[in-house]
Amino acid sequence: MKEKLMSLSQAVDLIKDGMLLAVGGNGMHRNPTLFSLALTQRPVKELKVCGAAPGIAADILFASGQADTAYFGFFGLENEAGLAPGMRKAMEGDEPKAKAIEGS
Amino acid sequence: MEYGKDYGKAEMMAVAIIREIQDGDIVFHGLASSTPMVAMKAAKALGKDFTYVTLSDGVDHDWQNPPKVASTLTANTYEGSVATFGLDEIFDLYASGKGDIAFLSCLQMDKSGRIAMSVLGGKDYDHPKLRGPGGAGSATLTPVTKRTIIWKTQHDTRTFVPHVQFATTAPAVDKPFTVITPLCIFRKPVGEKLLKLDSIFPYTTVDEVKANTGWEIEETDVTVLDPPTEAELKALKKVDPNGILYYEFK
Repeated sequence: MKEKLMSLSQAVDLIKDGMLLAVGGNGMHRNPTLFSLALTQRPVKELKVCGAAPGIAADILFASGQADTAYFGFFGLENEAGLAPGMRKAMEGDEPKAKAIEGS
Repeated sequence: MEYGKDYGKAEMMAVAIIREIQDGDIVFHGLASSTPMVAMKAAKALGKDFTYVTLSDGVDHDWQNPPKVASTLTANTYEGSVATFGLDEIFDLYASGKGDIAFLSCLQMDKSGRIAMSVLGGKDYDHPKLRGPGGAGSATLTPVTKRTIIWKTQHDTRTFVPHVQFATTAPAVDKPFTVITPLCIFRKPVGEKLLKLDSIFPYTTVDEVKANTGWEIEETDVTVLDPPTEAELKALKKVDPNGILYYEFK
């Protein structure tokens, strides 16, 4: 059987410019947050992220400017933390840096 | 019937939600849905016989688990479930026409029941003033759910507006569509396209509802809903010792 378990830095090394990442977890729960934080230390860019309800881990990649497209049903941090600030910063205004593709 | 005296908008709204549930219903709410979550647990405590599915993948979880946070993505709505049932299966069930109620909410709504969840303001969809969280499945569920029910814990002219610029979803003409606010219930009858004021809560007036609604309300003589009963208030207290119901009313 192929061994999939690897260190965080090895996992981050797999990510290349323009890749589509399925980010697990919903809202503030069960997110690969450390993976996203590690990714912000690499020069990788133009990432696309998808999930049913992407939250904190996906938001970090929009806050860092590394993601340019989100495919989602709901993108936010739920009641306690509210709307996703990184995603909003990237997607709002006259010159947005990122696109929302909603499957609602 | 013995009516309670010690209640406010939160309890009245929760009770209005509970009274929409009928025995035999299949009921769903999604994430960020603390108000219907507490109402559903209380409906179970009152002995209503319905099936309750949530985004935590559980069916009929142990309603005696008191919620600790307002999030509805936690294990709280899974522990003690009679079955595991994923989000994909919930959407399949509703797409096959077997879902009775979906509790949904909105950022804004107009008289046609058109709901904004995606964007508010700005030039267009791709250049919004505010990027919202998205429909979270509401555009899929609204056309296929037997009774879509919107709950919204704010009732003001910023929320209930004359025209929603970009509608994430809209009611189906051939299905009933209900909106529950802290002041009243609006309903869109089957075969019609516009919301009508159906009933108001005991502590308000039609004039107050009109003053806080951004569209014209023609109805003048509407039912005043019965206040919460002692049993309903007791059920709410029993299932929610941490007061999560009040989260959306702060």
